[in-house]
Amino acid sequence: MQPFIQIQQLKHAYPLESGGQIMALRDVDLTIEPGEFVALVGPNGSGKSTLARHFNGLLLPTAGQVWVDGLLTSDPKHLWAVRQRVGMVFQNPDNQLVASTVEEDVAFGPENQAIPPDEIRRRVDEALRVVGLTDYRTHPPQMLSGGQKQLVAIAGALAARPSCIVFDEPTSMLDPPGRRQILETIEQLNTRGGITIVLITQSMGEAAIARRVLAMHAGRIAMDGPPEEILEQEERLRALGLGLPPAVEIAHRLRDKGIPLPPGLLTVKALVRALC
Amino acid sequence: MLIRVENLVHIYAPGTPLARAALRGVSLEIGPGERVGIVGRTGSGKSTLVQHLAGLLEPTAGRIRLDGIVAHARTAAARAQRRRVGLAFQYPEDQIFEQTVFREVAFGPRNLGLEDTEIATRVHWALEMVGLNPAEMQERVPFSLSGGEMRRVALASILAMRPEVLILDEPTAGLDPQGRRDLLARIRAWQQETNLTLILISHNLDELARVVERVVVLGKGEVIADGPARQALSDSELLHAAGLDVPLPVALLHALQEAGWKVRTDRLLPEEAVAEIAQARGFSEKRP
Amino acid sequence: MNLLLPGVYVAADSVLHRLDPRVKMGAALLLMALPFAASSLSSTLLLLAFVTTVVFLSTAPLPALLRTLHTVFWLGFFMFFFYLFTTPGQPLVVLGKIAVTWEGVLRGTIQIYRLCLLVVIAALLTFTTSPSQLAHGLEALLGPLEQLGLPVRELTMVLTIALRFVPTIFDEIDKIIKAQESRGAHIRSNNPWHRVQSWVPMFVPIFVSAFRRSEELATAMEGRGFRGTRHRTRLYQLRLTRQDLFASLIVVAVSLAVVALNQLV
Repeated sequence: MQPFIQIQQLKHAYPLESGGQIMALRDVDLTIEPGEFVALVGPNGSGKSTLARHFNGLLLPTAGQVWVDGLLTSDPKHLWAVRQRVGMVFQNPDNQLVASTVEEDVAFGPENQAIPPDEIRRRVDEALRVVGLTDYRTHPPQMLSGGQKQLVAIAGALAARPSCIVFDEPTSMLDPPGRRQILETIEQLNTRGGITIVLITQSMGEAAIARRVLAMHAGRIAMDGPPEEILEQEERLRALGLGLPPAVEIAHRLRDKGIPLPPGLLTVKALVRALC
Repeated sequence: MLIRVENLVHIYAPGTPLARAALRGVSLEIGPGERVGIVGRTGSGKSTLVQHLAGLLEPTAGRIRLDGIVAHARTAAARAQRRRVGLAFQYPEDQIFEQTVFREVAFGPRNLGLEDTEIATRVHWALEMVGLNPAEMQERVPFSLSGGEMRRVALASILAMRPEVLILDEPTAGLDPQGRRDLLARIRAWQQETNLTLILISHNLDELARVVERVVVLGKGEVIADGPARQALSDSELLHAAGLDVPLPVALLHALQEAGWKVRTDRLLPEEAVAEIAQARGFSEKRP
Repeated sequence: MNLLLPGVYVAADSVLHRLDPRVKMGAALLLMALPFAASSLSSTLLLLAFVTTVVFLSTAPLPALLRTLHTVFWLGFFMFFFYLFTTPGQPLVVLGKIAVTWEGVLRGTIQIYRLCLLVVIAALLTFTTSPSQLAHGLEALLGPLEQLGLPVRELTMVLTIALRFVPTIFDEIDKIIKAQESRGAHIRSNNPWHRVQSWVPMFVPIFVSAFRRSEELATAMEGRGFRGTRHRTRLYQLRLTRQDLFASLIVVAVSLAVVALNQLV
């Protein structure tokens, strides 16, 4: 099977006002297979957001190549096809909604693709059904909670029928119920919808729900593996400026006290099962 | 300062179809030097309540007394009381407008009518309190700083007013884990150093548990609970009913208790929970 | 905190709601011009009767509609008194050198009537037509101007997006005002000098936020495949129905009748 995203020797430089430049990405090599659920973590300045914006061609490489579904992002002929295949949901729920009603916003993507109105209608209805907002079709955005706004953004991404959706810290401006709503939806999109997911997050607890964790540091991928493996390595993670998921922290402390526990306990449930 | 909230009612857009009762009769008392957390779902009235404490809103009914004086009155005495309360909104860096860090932090003290020398002293002190080097940062343009640095500048601008009561609305929102830890430690330090009254709104009960000693739980504009943190934050039923998540250590201990373990559930911090579990395990291993 | 703007759209399923926005906008313009073209008693009565019927058909709540007149209360008040005292004619009451004339009363009343009708018709339009429909209608009506090089589609897109953010920006302004007030700024003070001084702490953050918002929005739009307003299809299509034709004919007929009646008293 062809990898969905293939990145070779990717470098990205940002010009500085003072002249000169800053290397946000240095020699990134990465392959993401279709259907994967990848979490991307790293402290501020590690390059996560920059890397994510290469997946849909919002940023183009200073050097190196990015292929999405066999298409080269830096090829202008393919850019819009790339953007159809990879959707993106951003951090600020308000600053990605353009229309005055929910369904019009969800229709924005298909409208840009010049899809016939009847088909747009079908896709909008379906996308709203998937995120559970059918009853809010004609609501204006300001009447929605933060979590609901993010669901609208997700529906908007889905309406373009992407194979992959990239989430750039989608929950950091939400309250706990909103956060849970979004994470549940993301998981379902992957397990039921087969959509490839890249989840950028500051929360190690969130990273634990993915099936692969990439930890970035100073523009490079420093760690790459399943969460049970990566999120246990306390020393390495702290050296990269990251922490542990709260459940893992407790597991480590319990082990320090002499209580034998297997590695890879990422949630409270797993801890309880192991202790009993 | 003694803060007394007496049957506070606040209705937004009264008399119109959009009328919404944000506070329906809240009463409580906060004494000097207390560290209080205010928790509740979005829409429970937390932000409205603290805006009243800072004297920014007029009650629909009821009142707030700051050391006996009604907070929202248009008298010089009331104004003087309101000046002793500092409030940082969520994402306080949104309020930055000056061209240098110094002027931004000096804005508050200048509005207090202080002398230039006093202003400079306060700016210097406030920047150090938030972990920024005054000599390095004073002349920099705030908008060229990182998000975390801008947050610190905004908080410094409020500290520089030397409030006796410091109200922080989600101070760690949007920061990375390191930034959160650092800021919480500093908040604790400010409180200890100046013995100010600290009022913290947060959705993150795990963080709150490290800083506050008392928790007020709001739900639909009313006080659902008001008591020691240890009690309020370990009351799963109450918190779930209010739409909140208990701190992780509490969730763990509750789950173990349900599985038959003999553990207390009011251990709020990871290290406390670990000690509790270790004790319980030791005990059960002693059984013949 | 929502500002109750007069004539805000209320979603409902009335006869008026179902009409094409282009028809409604055209009819509104026509009806708003009538009181100026025809002010005889009979034409006024016909027009009022028609507008009243339309109000009922719109299912707009009467108190809300009357509240929209609030916005022009002072304007109407001063206009009435202006005409009352300055129109030459048969004096009714004399106060020193100034006389209140019968013609003045008449003139004043007519102006108030025109003003109120303008406001009510505009409110009926905005009550029964959503912002996006209004934008669609505007885009369609101004469409021909594209030939003259006017970027109509871009302008209506900008207008729609701006409208969508009005409540968000109001909330932001509220928050900034409160944040700066809590730092001692006198934004809402009665002292005009204080207020001027407070402009910078109020406007700079709002501008900064607006710029950041535009950038994030533009990035999001690009990520969703936006590459200009050409070759875009739309979810909503404006389609003229038999009801639209019927309504247009009725409005034209009533307008002609009103003008004709103007020749009588």
